[in-house]
Amino acid sequence: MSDMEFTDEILMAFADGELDEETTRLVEAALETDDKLMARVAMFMETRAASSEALKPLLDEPVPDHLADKVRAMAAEAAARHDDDRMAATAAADDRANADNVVAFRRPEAHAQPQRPLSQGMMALAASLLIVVGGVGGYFLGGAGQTGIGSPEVAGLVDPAVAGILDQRASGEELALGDGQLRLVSTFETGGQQLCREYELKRPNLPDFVSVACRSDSGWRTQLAIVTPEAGEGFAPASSLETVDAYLTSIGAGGPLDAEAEKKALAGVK
Amino acid sequence: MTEQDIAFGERLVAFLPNLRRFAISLCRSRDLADDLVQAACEKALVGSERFEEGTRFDAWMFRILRNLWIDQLRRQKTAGPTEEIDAQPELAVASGEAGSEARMTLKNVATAIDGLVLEQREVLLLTCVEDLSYKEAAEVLGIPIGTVMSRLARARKNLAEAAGIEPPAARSPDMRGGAR
Repeated sequence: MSDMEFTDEILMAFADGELDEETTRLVEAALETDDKLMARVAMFMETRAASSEALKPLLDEPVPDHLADKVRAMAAEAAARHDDDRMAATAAADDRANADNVVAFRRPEAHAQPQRPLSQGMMALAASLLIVVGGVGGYFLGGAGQTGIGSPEVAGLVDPAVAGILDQRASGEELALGDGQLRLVSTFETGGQQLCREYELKRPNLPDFVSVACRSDSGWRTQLAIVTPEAGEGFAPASSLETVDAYLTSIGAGGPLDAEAEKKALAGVK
Repeated sequence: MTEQDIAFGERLVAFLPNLRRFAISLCRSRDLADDLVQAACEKALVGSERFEEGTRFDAWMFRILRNLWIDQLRRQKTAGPTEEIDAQPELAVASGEAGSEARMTLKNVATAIDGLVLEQREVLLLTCVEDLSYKEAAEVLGIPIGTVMSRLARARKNLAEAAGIEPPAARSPDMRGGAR
């Protein structure tokens, strides 16, 4: 067992007490004779202790009054709201049938817990005119060909002209595309390490949309496309962006890559 | 007002120092951090039913706050250069009289943590500072455990190098073992 190679991850897990018993015994045995190995393990122990120690003073820092007061007030408000909901739920139990909620939520049974408030994601969903996720293709009504840019088909390949831009251009750029305008929002990796990009497209006489496309072996595929309500000038309004955020969170999207990492990642996919 | 509601609010207020520490280290600015903490609390209160009793409250809050921060970063990408925040990290070090060697070292470590890229910093904060397990950190970040481990190992190597952390020359044999 003496020439056994231990990876950094194994030694780190050992230092953190997260290693399975069997491997722990192997590491312990190797440590008996290997000072270099001991030094590597010690580094992981030291860094843990040092990090914890170094950021301890931040815990003792008093929370600013305005923040603590605000949170207390919000908590009291939320508690009161729950009370109201409970009363409202009882009162409304009779006309339960004709509730005209935008999003159909079944009310809880009568002996019920408080009515569940719509999550922010659901609100945003209701606010967007249309959201299409997975499997449904070609939901745009006619109009294709006006700009020469095809509409995004969810789970379909991205239009080649757009794909070319997704392959090469940096986030933050705004480009003319036909007689429309495309804005690259960000590039990020999902939990599954897939490379994805978010972009927005505005076209005359066609609905604007915000879309997320991920790179697969066969090219960029649309994962999500949301038609955004007329927002006048500028790009997608905040409510539809919340929906995008909710979606990205659900697929485990990481933070946006910075310019350099983005360049590298894009170069890697070609 | 039910006991449950009150308990949740109190729990949230009691957790503010930890949440704020995480936020400060994450976004490296106290002002941004306080806004972020407030937004996270708001979101938590709206979705308080979604918290499952018996699971870690801290991990749940960290996830909410971290997702808000990532969303914000994503938006900033379009709003303009983000360099401002990245280039001038406000040190996550408590102010106080400098001088003693121990303090200098702590300051070095805090500075070195601030210098880590976000994906390494967040995983280090969750595990080494907030004591989440690899699995819990993986859940907060929405990434596989293997990714947590490879990022964390890289983070600690970078940290050791940047802060000049060196293992003591000699270790007594009883240091062995999977000590925490």
